[in-house]
Amino acid sequence: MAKKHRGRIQAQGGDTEKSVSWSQDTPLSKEHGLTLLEDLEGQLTKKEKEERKKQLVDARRFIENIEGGIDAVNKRSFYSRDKGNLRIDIEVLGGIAFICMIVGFLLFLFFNKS
Amino acid sequence: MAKLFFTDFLDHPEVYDAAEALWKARFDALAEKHQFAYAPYINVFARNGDKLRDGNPIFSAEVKNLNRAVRIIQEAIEQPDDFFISAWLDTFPIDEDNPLNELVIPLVLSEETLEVAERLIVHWLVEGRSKEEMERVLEEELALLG
Repeated sequence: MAKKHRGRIQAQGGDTEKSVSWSQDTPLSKEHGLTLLEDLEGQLTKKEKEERKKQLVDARRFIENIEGGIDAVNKRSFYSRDKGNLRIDIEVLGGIAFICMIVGFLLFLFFNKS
Repeated sequence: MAKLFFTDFLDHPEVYDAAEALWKARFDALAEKHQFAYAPYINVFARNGDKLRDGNPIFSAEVKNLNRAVRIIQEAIEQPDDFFISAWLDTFPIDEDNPLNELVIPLVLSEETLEVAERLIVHWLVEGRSKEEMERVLEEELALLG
């Protein structure tokens, strides 16, 4: 059974299709989201990383700057005009993602108090 | 010369909302003409209640009975006579067992790119083209634009 909070971050376009995903009972924190993005970057070849340099920066900036997190369903594509469909996609498929740890902890307490 | 629309849409919320309304109106017209029903599928609000007005996406439409969707990403202009449109197909596993098939169209909004986008949307949602046919159509349409 799918957990409440899930999603994935993908590197796509050209011959590339690599991803990292999350599926958990508590909202995804910003910190964990950034770690996942780093994990995805670690999967990329040197060429894939170079081709998506700007897109990785934009994806990171999005996660860092979103205020209070974001509810599903959400999808954002980070691409460059001159790179065709080479891109990083962030997908929030269920629940909440990219909250600050303290907010996540409070939400966890709130949803688990009953 | 490209006839650009809503060039300052990222600077002014009312202009952004007007651009959004244009997409909705055009899509409503397509839906009525070609008899399909659609609904937005991307949440455009942050948890603090702020509307996300970054154009990524500016519009989304899911046609449930086709399991197909369109997502429009509208960009800021980079130069006075800016012309940009691209497109790709993607999948979105909101339902893990039945991923939604998306046509994604990033563009700078102009009279010309709006026409191209609408053609692509008709190919995708009305003509029932397969994904393989659609890949070919995208290549052909985008090649014509140079």
